[in-house]
Amino acid sequence: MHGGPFADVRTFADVVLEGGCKRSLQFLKARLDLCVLAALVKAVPAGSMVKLRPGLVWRLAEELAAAAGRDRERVRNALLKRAGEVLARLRRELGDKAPAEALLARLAELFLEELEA
Amino acid sequence: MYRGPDAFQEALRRFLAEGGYAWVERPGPPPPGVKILKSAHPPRLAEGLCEEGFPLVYIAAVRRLGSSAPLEEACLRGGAVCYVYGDVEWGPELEGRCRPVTFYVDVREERKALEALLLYIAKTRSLPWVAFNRDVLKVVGLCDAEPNACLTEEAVAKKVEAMRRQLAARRPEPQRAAPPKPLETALAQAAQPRRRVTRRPKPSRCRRRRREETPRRRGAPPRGLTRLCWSS
Repeated sequence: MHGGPFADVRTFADVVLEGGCKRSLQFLKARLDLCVLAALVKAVPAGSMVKLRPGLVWRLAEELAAAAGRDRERVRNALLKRAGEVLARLRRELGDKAPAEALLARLAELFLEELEA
Repeated sequence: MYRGPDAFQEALRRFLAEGGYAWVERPGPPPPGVKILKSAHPPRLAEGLCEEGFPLVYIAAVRRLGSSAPLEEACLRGGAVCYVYGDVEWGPELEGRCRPVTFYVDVREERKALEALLLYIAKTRSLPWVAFNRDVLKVVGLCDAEPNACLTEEAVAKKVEAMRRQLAARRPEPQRAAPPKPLETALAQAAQPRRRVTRRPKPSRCRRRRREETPRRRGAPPRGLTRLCWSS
């Protein structure tokens, strides 16, 4: 399969989600920003215009929150709220609808910064 | 930020002229060589742009190996090492439909010239260092200079594992739902008589005596007996 220049970043996002965010609730709560950015990197479709709305990560937020048991809704809402904040920032920078490549470039930058932190 | 395909060609000409590079611009697809990106966009992504008439811009950074042939010839005949960059992977399906343009750039002082070119590409195309070919990054020494430039999947996995362990050591993880018991254990437990979990504390000697002496009734115990208990 042809991955494009962001293939590696998507792989890293997958590693973070599977190895950390989905595996441990403690990790998810402590590194919420990293998990949200990883979910966004994974959720952006390639090669189209993307509407910057938290609905992008709805399915992934549900998946991540599934492990939280009774706290499920609270965790999912926290994830969607943070995703909304990140996307609002990107909307200011890139406009309401952005090419997926431009969006991925910015998300990759933020994700790798957060991974480094 | 990504500014569209037309602006890139013009800006590249300006960058090369200002940087003092020796370069030529030739119509045609890129030569074979070392890919600067690990993976470029698939050719199908370019079809729309080609239909709109935009050229596909490629860069070939050429390091001659003693050859004095023109840059494009040196690349094709193997008289040079060519580092090739393009947003879109060139493929036979684009032949005849797209208008490719290749910039052949002479990089004599390989490290410095190539580093400047890579920086320019990363900045104008908003590409993270992890999108670049590790071998090319090693040539210019960016693996050591830039954090995360040569990050691998294994390194990320190790990092995540370390973070998880660190967090777990700080505070124990709250217990999740207990795993289901095996059937044999569950049956054996069900067969055993149930034991009372909470027990009342054993009454004191005084209370026991009081209970025996007084008839069972509601309300406070008679005064005299209460006093008796207190005094004993």
